[in-house]
Amino acid sequence: MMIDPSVALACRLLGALVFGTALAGKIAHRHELAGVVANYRLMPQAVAAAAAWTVVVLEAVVVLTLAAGAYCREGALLAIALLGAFALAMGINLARGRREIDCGCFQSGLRQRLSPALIGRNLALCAALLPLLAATAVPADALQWVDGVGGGLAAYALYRTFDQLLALRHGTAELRKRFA
Amino acid sequence: MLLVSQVMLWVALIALAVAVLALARQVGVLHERIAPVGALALGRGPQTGEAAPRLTVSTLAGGTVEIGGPLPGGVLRLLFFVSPTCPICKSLLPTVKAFAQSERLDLLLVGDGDLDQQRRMAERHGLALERFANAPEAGRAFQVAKLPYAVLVNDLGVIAAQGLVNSREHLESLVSAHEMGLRSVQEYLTRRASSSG
Repeated sequence: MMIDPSVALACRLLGALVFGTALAGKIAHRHELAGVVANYRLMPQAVAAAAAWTVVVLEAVVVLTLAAGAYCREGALLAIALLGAFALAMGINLARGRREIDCGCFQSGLRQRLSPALIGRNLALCAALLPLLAATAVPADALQWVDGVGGGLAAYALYRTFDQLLALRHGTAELRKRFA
Repeated sequence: MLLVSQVMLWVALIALAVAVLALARQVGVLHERIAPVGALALGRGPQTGEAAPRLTVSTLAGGTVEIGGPLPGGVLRLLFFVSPTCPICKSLLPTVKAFAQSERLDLLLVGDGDLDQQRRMAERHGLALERFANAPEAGRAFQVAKLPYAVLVNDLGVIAAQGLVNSREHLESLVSAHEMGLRSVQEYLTRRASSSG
């Protein structure tokens, strides 16, 4: 299947930016990383630190492949697998009733509790990366570059806004309770 | 021509999206500013003004220590509930130590978790092992649901103030609440609202 080069560019840019900021956040909060992973209670404590750093390395691979455009399909596949695994980990903890733990997304300054909306967000990101799995080797012309970069940047800004509003939702509910 | 108009459209759209994001972040900053400036009482377990549950628990040093019950006159005891797997507890420990020292509080850390990890945590933060109890039963007796949680017990063995703490400000609120005779930050807010309204 052929996809328009502008769509591929936009998807690549969105994926690289989303994983890039998550990666930067994880490195900035590296001391909390193992604790956050351990809090999911999906593995023995001893392997939590190793698992956390494996995620960091895999995310770096995603950023590099999507940004460079080489092995793009493999990078997108890895990104989708990671997002799916995170969604599954969140789903398991939601089912256990542990919604108060931090999601460890490191996307905004606010601590984010687990919620079904976060799983939805991950699945939407997976869907946004799907076009990259379709082969495309058509070089982009100037107009397609403009559309691709513009679309990618706009999608990323909207994604961050959605994420921020999601993180604020809990705070708003708390405030409503306090001033009720 | 088409290229120029397309560039202009994208620039306008991205600028708008960034503006909306900036607004959402501002709301986030406001939320942080108006977050409770005192320890949040959770309203479960033994309440402020009631006697603290009396328990004898073992410390990391191997001895035992009594939680609850009368203390020497004028002594205030700060029970600080922690866990080695709670990142905020770890970042708050140096503050708690300094705070207990400056306020002359008898600090007793109460942990729940793996013994070795707790010992490592105590060593890393320079905490005396005899002032660190491994007592999941104390957490259950006080019905601590969220960490880090602090309970201030007076010399009569009565809970003077308690709540969820995330900062030095929250810890100070416990001592202020005790000095002002208030039970929690919620009571302070209600009293302030009714006096101004």
